[in-house]
Amino acid sequence: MSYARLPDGSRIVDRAAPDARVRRDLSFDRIVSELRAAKSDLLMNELRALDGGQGRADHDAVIRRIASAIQNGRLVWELPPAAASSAGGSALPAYVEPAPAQEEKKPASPVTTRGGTTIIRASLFTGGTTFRKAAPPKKPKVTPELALEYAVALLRSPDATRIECSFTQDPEAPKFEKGLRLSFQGVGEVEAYADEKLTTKLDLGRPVPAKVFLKAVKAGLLELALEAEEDERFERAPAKAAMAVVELNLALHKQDVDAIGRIHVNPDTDPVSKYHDDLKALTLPAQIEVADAEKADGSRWLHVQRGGHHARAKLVLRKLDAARWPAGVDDYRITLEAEKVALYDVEWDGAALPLPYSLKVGALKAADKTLWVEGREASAKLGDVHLKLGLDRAPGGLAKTPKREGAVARLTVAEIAELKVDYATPAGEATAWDEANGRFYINLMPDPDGRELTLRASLKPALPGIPVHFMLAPDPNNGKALPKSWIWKDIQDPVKHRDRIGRDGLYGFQAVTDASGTARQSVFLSRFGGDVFHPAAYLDQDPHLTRYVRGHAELAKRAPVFAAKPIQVWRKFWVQRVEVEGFRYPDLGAAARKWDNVYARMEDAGSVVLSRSAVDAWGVPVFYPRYVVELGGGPETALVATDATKRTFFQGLRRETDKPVKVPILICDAVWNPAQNTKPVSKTQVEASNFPVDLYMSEMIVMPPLQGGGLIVSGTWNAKVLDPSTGAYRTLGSGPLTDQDLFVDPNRLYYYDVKLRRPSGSLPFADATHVDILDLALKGARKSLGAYDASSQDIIAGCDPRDLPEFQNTIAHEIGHGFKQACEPGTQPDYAPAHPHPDITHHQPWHCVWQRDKCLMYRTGPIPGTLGEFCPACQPYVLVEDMSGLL
Amino acid sequence: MNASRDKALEALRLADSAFKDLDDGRVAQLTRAVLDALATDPARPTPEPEGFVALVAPRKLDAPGEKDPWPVLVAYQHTPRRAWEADLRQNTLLIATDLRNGDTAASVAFRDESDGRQRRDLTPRPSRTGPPPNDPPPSARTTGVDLLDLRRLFPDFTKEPRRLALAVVYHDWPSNVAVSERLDRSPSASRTTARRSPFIKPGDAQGEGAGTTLILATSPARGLEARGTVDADVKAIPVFEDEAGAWVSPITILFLKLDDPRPVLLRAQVPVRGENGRVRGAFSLSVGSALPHADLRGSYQVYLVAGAQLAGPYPLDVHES
Repeated sequence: MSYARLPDGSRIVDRAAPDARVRRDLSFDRIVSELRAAKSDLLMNELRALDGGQGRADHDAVIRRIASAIQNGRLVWELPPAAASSAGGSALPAYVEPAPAQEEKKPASPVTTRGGTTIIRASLFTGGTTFRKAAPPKKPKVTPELALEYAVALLRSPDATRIECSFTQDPEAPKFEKGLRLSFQGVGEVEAYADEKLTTKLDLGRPVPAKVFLKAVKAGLLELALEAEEDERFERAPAKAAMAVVELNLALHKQDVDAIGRIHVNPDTDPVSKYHDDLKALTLPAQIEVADAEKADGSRWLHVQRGGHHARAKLVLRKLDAARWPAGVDDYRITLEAEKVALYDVEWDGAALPLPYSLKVGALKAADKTLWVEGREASAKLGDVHLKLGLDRAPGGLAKTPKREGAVARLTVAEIAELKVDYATPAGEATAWDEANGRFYINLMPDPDGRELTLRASLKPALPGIPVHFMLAPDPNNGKALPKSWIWKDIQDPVKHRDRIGRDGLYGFQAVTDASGTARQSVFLSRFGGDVFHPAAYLDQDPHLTRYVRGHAELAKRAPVFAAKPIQVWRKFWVQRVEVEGFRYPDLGAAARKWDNVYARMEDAGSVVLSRSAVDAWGVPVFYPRYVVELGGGPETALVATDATKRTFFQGLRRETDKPVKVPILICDAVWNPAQNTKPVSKTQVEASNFPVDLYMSEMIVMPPLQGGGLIVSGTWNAKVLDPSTGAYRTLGSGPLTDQDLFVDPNRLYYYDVKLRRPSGSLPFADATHVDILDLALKGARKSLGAYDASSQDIIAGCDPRDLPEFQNTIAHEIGHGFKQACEPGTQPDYAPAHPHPDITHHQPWHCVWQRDKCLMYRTGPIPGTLGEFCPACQPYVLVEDMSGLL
Repeated sequence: MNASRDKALEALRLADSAFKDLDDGRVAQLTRAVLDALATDPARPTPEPEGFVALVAPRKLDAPGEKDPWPVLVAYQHTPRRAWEADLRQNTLLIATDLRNGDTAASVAFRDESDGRQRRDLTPRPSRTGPPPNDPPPSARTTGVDLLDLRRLFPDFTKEPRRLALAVVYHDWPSNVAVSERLDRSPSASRTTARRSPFIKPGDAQGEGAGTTLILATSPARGLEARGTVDADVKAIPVFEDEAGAWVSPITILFLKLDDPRPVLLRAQVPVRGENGRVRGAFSLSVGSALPHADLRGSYQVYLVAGAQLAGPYPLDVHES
């Protein structure tokens, strides 16, 4: 209770005590006069408090309002307690009456009708008067009249409910010149204002104007009473009307993100379609009602609808409590207004309902009404979409205006306008993202870092604080190149793409938009070259999009927002050629295309050219007559590389940070290496005139030998003469064979052939008719097409200009070794089955014998009918290989 | 009989313990010994060289370690023309039969040793391509001795201690058969029962007595048929009891194609009986039924392996699949 204490001990209070004595029948002027007389700073402060602390009104204005409040009963002037009157017995001043007990108030009766009289309706204070015929009364009767714009006042609505107060007088003279008093009674509470904008509150202790605007304060039924001020010349009867302050409730719902986050669906199934079936069968949790704070700040997001892909927000118009509504208003309509959204009565599909939407009060008394809100236009700022629940009725009676915003829920319509790979090449490093071709090179950093990329989603207009989830939607063709032996469920997670919170979770990785409306998040591509992923993003309020499966008949029907281009998993490496001045070889385009076919880009890192003189200066066997190292090769000089000499060629190469995976390649005319010594060959009784003779050795022969020194390991000759008469031979002499006795025939047919002249040591034996060649053993050699050296991570390859396709095969093959191909059984990654076609026959499991040696990774070449590519068995190993480094 | 092979085998006679000490130098000495054994009298006209392949293995090898080698020596002699007709490296297979269970495997005998580099080699020249060598008689001869390690040639086949019957075939040249046993401290698994191969039919018992033999015949009705007999010392062939209580022994028929290092192996369990310390039996089978997925078109040298018995070669030309 608030009060202001006066110097005589009386108090002006807002509520009198039950046994208090109060002053009554004080005129306005007298109250003002007495308060002015008692004025003090303390009193004025207390009066101001009673007055509601309104503004900076001067003392007199406060006093006048207090006086008015006392007059209309809102405040009471309470005398000091009984002790003050005990002396005077029970006598009270004439103006003193006990305060009425509240329970004595009786409910008002309904408003009576006017009957068939002709009345004069006077508009109080406004001066406007309408005259009608009236029968002349003996004692004029004044009948107040109440007309309501609505029989309800809408709680929380900014719009006032208008009532019109008037009276009829019968007869019309003498004219009733006093005013009408308005009062309310009941649970419901309203405030009366003189203006529609609810700025001038009425003093109900005084006559009210013809138009009164009610502001709903507290829900509940109430009765309005309009009564003419007392004037003994007139007969008076009050007008009463039933009304209610009503409340509308709007329950906005959001997705149950937490519950959805607890759902797990195993994506590693066999067949993969089982995962899709499980997703399809999944029932997502129902939407849950948002808290008042969320409803107020608009933190329920919706995505602008695109072709039915996005979810709608559930909106429930709560059932009305019929007991708290007055009778006769069932035809009133509850209206729902909104912009930037559309309204549906079904969660998916269906036709948009007209806006503003409305339904009858009577219908909402029967049951909740569930609606679905769909985003149509992006918000300019957070929470700028208002769902406003109001009230309206059919025209008739008083002019009316709809009552708005009895309940308001705010939400935000966002639009992911763009999704891109957010990539910038680090200074001095290689570029992983080839936007033009949609290729992401995953091997430029060690796995899995190399597979990590950042996606950037931009909301337009920019809205901060919106959670965006990201997805790498696998293309339906992914994995189709894998053989059936590669069972998806058994392939371990580390090589699969990663875009979800938890391997078996539903939601993709999440980021929240910043002030610029941008959200960035890392995701991981798979390690399978050629896999295509469609970057996508969606809001957390579109949880059905977590089930999106590209290419699926059902699960692809509703799709997230995609980036303009898909991303394909690629690898990239560089080859750096080492060349010797004067020796030219073809470009490696054909080999590069073989790697293109397994989604690995082979780029030219340029060449290092060595001068001929510098190579000569090494003093190692590098240059040979071409016919020695190539059958039918002619007399010109050929460049020959061996395992021993190649290191010298590569010594000038350097690492380059912008070419992190670089394969040095020395291309030469022929690759030769030392082999074991030949098995001893003997040929006896060679007629002396038949030299030179062909010898077929068990190993290939080059002269001079790659091992250095002489070619001959062992061997002797016997010069002998045949005695025709006896058929017996007589040895004339013998001696060791020498290198001078041997030569390579420029026209030799096989690398195993060597020619032997008549041994020079035997020449002095001119009579010799025959020569025995005994146990000749030579240093062997082995010709290769190419080799990869894991210890130095480089390649040498020979180029036979007569078989350039095989040269390209060799380049691609040796690079394959650099990237751990063919995969040896037992060394395959944990997730992969053992290679089905290792060359166990030749005990070289790092080579593949698919379809009887037709794979690029077969151990030799050329092979008639070779595929010239990685075979279907090798391909998956190449595709999934971590190519961030060389073997 | 091949006198040169016998001479070579004699020159390569080694105590079991000597096999552990074999290295390149020792092999060179043994090669010299073989050359000396095969040397001809320079005063007399040289006869045409006698080609052969021979195999020497330790009868018992104490090699308990998992990586201990299981050395064997292979000796051979051939002429340039023979090498032209059948390239030695492409056509020499080592055949091993586990005498505990009769399992037989074949491996390329001469492998290119890896030196840590992964090479792409020239495809070997196919046999019989180009003109035959110009090698007027008496022909030149190449004589060699190679040290092989069974553990590397048969990595899976030699994990457990086994008693192996070993032979080398150089296309249509078979070697002698040597039995070698690796001793180990670990227990060995053994099989006691076997299932008779469903495609096997009893053969004509009249054919028995001629040793282990094979006859290949083609008929329009049955296609390629193999009819064979088994006649082996009871210690040289495993015998099992089948589900019906009858005795069966494992055999393997190898189909070798020129220059193809991957022979087709037909494995079967054939009915046998014991008789005076020998295991004897006869069988008949349809090759098409036994190898329904094999494409056997081409020319073959066929061998029958029954325990420590190696019979063949039997030339075979198959024109229709």
